[in-house]
Order: sequence, then structure tokens, then C-alpha cells
Amino acid sequence: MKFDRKKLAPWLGLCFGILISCLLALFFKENPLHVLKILTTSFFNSKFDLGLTLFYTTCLIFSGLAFSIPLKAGLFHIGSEGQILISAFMAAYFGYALQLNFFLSLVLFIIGTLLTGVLSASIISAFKVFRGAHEVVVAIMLNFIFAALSTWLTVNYLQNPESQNPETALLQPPLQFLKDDFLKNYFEQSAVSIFFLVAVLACAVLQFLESRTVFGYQLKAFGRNPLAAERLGMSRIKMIFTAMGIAGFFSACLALNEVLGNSFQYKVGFSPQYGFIGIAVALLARQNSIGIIFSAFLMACLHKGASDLDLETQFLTRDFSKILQALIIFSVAASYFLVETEFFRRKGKT
Amino acid sequence: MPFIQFNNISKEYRGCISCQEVNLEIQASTIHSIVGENGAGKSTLMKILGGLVTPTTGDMILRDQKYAPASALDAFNNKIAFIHQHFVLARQLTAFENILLSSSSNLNPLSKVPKSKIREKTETLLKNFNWTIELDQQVEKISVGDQQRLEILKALLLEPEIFIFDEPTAVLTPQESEELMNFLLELKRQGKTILLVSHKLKEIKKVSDFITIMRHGRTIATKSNATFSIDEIAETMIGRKVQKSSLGLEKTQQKTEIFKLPGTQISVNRAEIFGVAGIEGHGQSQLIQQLIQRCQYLKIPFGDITEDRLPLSVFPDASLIDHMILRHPSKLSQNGFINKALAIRQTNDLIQKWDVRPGDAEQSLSELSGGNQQKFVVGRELSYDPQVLIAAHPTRGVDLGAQEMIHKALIEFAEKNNSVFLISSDLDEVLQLSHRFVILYHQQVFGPFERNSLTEIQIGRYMTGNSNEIRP
Repeated sequence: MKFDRKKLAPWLGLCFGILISCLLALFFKENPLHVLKILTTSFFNSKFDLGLTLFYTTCLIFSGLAFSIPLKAGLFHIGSEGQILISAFMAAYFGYALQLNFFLSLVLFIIGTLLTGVLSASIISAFKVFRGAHEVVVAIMLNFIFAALSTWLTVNYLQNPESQNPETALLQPPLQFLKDDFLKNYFEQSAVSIFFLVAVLACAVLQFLESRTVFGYQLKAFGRNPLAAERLGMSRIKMIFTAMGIAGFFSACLALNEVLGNSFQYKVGFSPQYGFIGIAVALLARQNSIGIIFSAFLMACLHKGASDLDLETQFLTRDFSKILQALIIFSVAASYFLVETEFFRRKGKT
Repeated sequence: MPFIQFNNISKEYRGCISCQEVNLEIQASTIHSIVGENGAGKSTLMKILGGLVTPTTGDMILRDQKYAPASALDAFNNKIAFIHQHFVLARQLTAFENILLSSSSNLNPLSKVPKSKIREKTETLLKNFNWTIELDQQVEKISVGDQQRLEILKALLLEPEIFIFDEPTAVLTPQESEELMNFLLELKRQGKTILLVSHKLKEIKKVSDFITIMRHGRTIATKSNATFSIDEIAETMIGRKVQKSSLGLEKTQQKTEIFKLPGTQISVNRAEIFGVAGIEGHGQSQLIQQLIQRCQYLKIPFGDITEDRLPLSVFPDASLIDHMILRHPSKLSQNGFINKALAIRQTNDLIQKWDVRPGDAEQSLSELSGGNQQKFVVGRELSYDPQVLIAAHPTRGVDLGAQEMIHKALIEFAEKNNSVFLISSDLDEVLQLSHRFVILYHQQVFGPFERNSLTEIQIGRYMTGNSNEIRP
């Protein structure tokens, strides 16, 4: 069998990232092995911890999908973070403002949130299709705009009067029904909810659609060779808008997971950059939708471990854990380019 | 002693044998041509010599010494230059900047030579060969022939002794090809050794000292040029007699018009092959676009053999089945869900009918040789009964056997009361196959002309824009 460097690349990147992080811990007078132990074991300390890890997993599955689907169509989509924030804010708004009967509120709440995600992603498509702008540039700027917008709206129009923190008012009580979720109950009132199963199901459904439907084939074909795809009569506008729309949809799912399944409000800064960790998740899984479930769990474990460094070590702070995660994401993302260097090529040949 | 010697060279790609026990001797200061159908192993053999591919077994002897290149660099240190079919040029840079670029790598012996010296050397070379490349012109603005000369120039600066030319004339006009062949003869006079891979037997016949024929990875025969006729070469290459396809001239069928392109004299008729001659880039792509739009507008089922296979017809990492599904989604699916079993069956039928090799439907199309890719594309475009076939350069870069097959298919398709629109820069092809044809020059359309109504000289004038005095 042919040795495929590219398959191994993200794993090399992951190990490299962890290694560098551990070495970095040395500078803070921490034992790297102790850091490594926390990183790798803190996710199953208790049922509650495992529940929290599964919550992260849910988020990362969604953000991983939000990156991987556009990538299949040849789009490098890094705008998930902004879409998550604005959808989460809108979810909190809908949940607070809708006071119809339970069922109608819930449906409008969910549709409104998902629509926000899709529309916010469509801005990127529109700039790309109609103005020829590069999706990365538009996305990175929109991330900032959406973050600022949702914070401003929260603080000025929807601030929770009972809190000093920048956060919105809680959802109407009927919409907080997931407080009594069976997964939540099992994991000792942890953050995880039914959305975990939704996320896993979404991966399975996507995998099926990708390999069985004409549209799935067309999307991948468009990503491989847009010119040839257009020559076969596929519409560039349709492909880009759909791929981005799906991405926005999953960003909004993440927002729902947070707002409907966990905090029942929008808290400014709730996302530890899920949108960007999602990039590493998708790359680790090589955009395989089923693979994303596992890579999301892996990254969730690491994220859980990194967050606990603050508590479990003497000198490492919350900020350090961010550095650590950034290093890991960076290494995974860069690993494809790393294996293409002369050094690895030679190794691959012999 | 021979200059270069291949001993029992074999090369296997994942179980696919590309070269099999090749024994070949090349004499110094000769032009040695290697011909064969696509996939016969000639390119692989050249890549082995050029250090781009390592053989599975066997060895090579160069200048009485064992020669086992590990990389292209080894080959170039042994004074071997490889001139590829596809140009490796930065189009936005000037010709001279491209030369500097190619010599800027640390491993290149020229990297330490000052710019002015390289310029001087380049200009001397240009003078020696009587070439007039504008060195300070952007590459995208110079002619294809000059671009190729630039590629050769890049190699010449390193003063190689052995030249490998892989299908050098595939993209050149007849005059440019002629000039290139004269250049090869000039190189030979200077004592260089040249290995030439080509499909164009006339050229080979004109310049070669020796001709080696390869088939299915083996060398079938090596003879001196004088003892070989073109027909013999062709027969040995494909292992049987070649049949030239030509049209049944008797007009038995009624040529009813399917549609007319608005604003032009071009009409698409049933039972007719309509040719479009002209040098590439004179409006062919726009014409094709118009035709496609017209067919789509009128909802006429059509086949589209694109003018440039790799960028317009091939999806990297997608299998033959995938390509089939992408082209005929409505036929191979129900309610948006793909009928995979049907797709596999159809693809295998197509592979069998068109003799696409190696014939694995799961293999990705981009891994096939050019000729096999084209056979697959033509077959795919002809399936599910189109009425109009737009065939742009259908036999470009394709070996004789495949060419024969494709020509026959076009004729048969037209005979079934369908219409073929044949766009080709190969004038012989247009004249041989079309009932009527037009000539393109700078977005202008001349014609349509009936078959045999113009001499080749007249056509040549239209193609180069010297048509004022003969405009009908």
C-alpha cells in the first residue's frame, strides 16, 4: 500500500502541538508530565466532567462540520465563530421575546436561529460570488463585526437586569425545558444535552447524503474543479451559497446547543473560539463526516484538560490554556504544509 | 559502445506494468525517436532516464558508467535535459525573468553566475540559433512557439549533451513544428544526442536516425530510419493495419437543419459533420460557449468534448464512475439519490466498448493516460443519445489507435442522423472529416465552405488573416 503522508499529517501536527505546549510549561516552572497528565485525563474525572466534555464535543462537531462542508466545495470557511455569536444572540432574543404557546414559540425560535446562521453565512457567499472577494478575508472581518454587534446589542438592549456580567435575559421559562434533559440528568446536571445525539446523527446523515446523492457528488466535484463543474452545467452561485448556507446552519446549531441546551441565555464570551477549534477538528478528520465525531471528542478532551490547567497547576493560568490550544490548532492546520517540505518528502520516499 | 544503454528496465506502478524488460541502446550524436501508443511506456522510460522515476528493476549505463539517478538533479548533473510537453513558465514574468527564475535554485550551477553574464549567454545562444525571442516581453504575450523555445533555452544554458523531448510539437502550429525539427537537426550537428517522443510520424520520419517502437511496455523494434516506412511504423505500433476513416460522400440522408446560431451563417444540420478550422485562440472557445447555450436554450441533448481536457473535463481524485454520475446525473439517479449499481454497470460497459485501459472503473480518471482519458470522455459524451456532439480537439495528444477509434465514432454518430460540430486546430482532421467547414481568424468567421471547395493554400491564407484578396 502506498504510504500517504497527508493522512498522517494532522496527527503529527497534533503531537507536535502537544509537545511544544508541554515544553512551554517548563518556562512556567511546571512539570510537563503533570501538564500532559491533566490534558489527557481530566475529561473523565467525574460524570459531570465527562458530560462537559461531551458538551464540548457537540459544539466541536457542529463547528467542524461548518468548516468541512465548505471545504469540500473548495471554500476555506473561517467565519463560523462570528456566525455562532450572532446566532446565539438572536436565539437569546427570540427565546426572550417570543411569548406564544410553547410549541409555536419553540418552532419559531429554532427556525429564527437557524435562519440567522444561514443568512450571516450568505453574506460571505454574496461577497464572493458578486464582488469576487476572497471568502477568508470577508469571513475574518465578519467575525469581528458579529462579535462586536452581538456584544453591543446584549449590553444595550437585552442586558440581564439581575446580573453584573454582560449577558442577556433568560429564555422564557417554557423554553428552558432542556433543564430536565435525560442526558443532563445522567451526567449530574452537566452542560451536555440531547444536542449531542443530534450532532452525531447529523454527521451520519451528512455522510450518507454525501456519498449517495447527486448533490453531494456535485458539491465535491465543484470543490475539485470548479471550471469543469460549471462546464457540466452546475451553477457556481448555487454551489457556493449552498455550501456556505450549510456551514451557517451548523454554526447556528452550535448556538442552539449553547442557548437552548446549556445556559438558556447569551453570555458574552461563552465561546472559547469554537469556530476556530472546529478547523482543527475538520482537518484531523480529513473532512470525513463520521471522523469528525471522533476528532471532535479528542479535541474536546484536550479543551477540557486545557481549561482545567488553571485549577490543577500552580502557575498556569487560563490564558496559558488558550496559548496551548492555539498552538495545537496552529500545528494541525500547518501540518499539511509541513509534510510537503523536503525533509518529509525524502522520508516518505525511502 | 553505445552512449546510453538500458538493461532490462522494468517499472511497475501499483501492480500496473508500465515498462517491461526494456533493452535499448542509444548512439551518441543521433536523433533517436521513440514511438508507441499512449500507455506504451515511452514516457515512463524517458522519466527513468531523466531521474523522475526510479525503475523497479534493471539498470542504465551512461558513457560506459553505471547511471542510477535519484532525482532530476542527478540527471542534469549528467548533462541530461528534459523538455516537457507542458511548459513550466511564469506567465506574468518576462522571458528573461523566467530564465533567471529557473536558474535561481540553490542547486542550479547558474545560481551564482551574475545576471549580466546569463543575459549575455542567452543572447549568444539566441544568435547561434537565429531565434528572435523578445527577452523583455511578458511570457503570456509571446507565441506558443517562442514559449517552447524559451523552455529549450532554459535547458541550453546548462549546456547539456543529451536532450529528451517529450511530445514537443503537440501544441505547435505546422510551421513552428517544422522550425523545431530543423533545430533538432542543428543540435545533432553540434554533436548532441536527442531522444524524441512523438505521435507525429511524419516529423519522426523526417529527423530521426533511429526509431524504436514500444508497445505494452516492451520495445518491439529498433531500426534505422531508412529501413522503415511510415505505414510500417504505424502498423508495428498498434499491431495491425491502420484504417483511415473517411466520410461516405454519397449524400443519402436528408440534411435537415436542427438550429442556426443567431447572427452567424453557422447552421447545425442532421447527418453532418461541421468543421471549424483555425489557429487556436481565435474565437473557438466563444463559439463553443454559444453552441452550448443554444443547445441548452433549445433543450437539445448534446455531448461536449471540451477543448482542454484536464481543466475542463477531469476532476482530480474522482473515479470513472464519479465522472459518469456527474455527467449524467438524471439518468443515474432517482429523486436525487444515486443508483450506484447502475452507474457501475454503465461505466463498465463504456470501458469495455471504448477499450479504456487499465479498465478499473474505481480508478481515478486523472491517473489514466491522456489517450485513455479522452476515449473515456468521448464515450461518456456519446452515451444517452445526444443529438449534437460538440467535439473540440477530440484527438489532441491521443495515439493513432485511439484517434482512429474516435474518428470512426464521430462518423458513425453523424450517420445516425445526428450532428457533429468538430473544432480542431489540426487542419488535416477538419478536412478529412467535415462535410462543410468554417475558418476562424480573430473572432471572425469565414465560410461555411463546402468540402473540397478550397485548396490548402487558400485555407492557410484565411487562417493567417491574409484573406482580403481572396474573400469570396
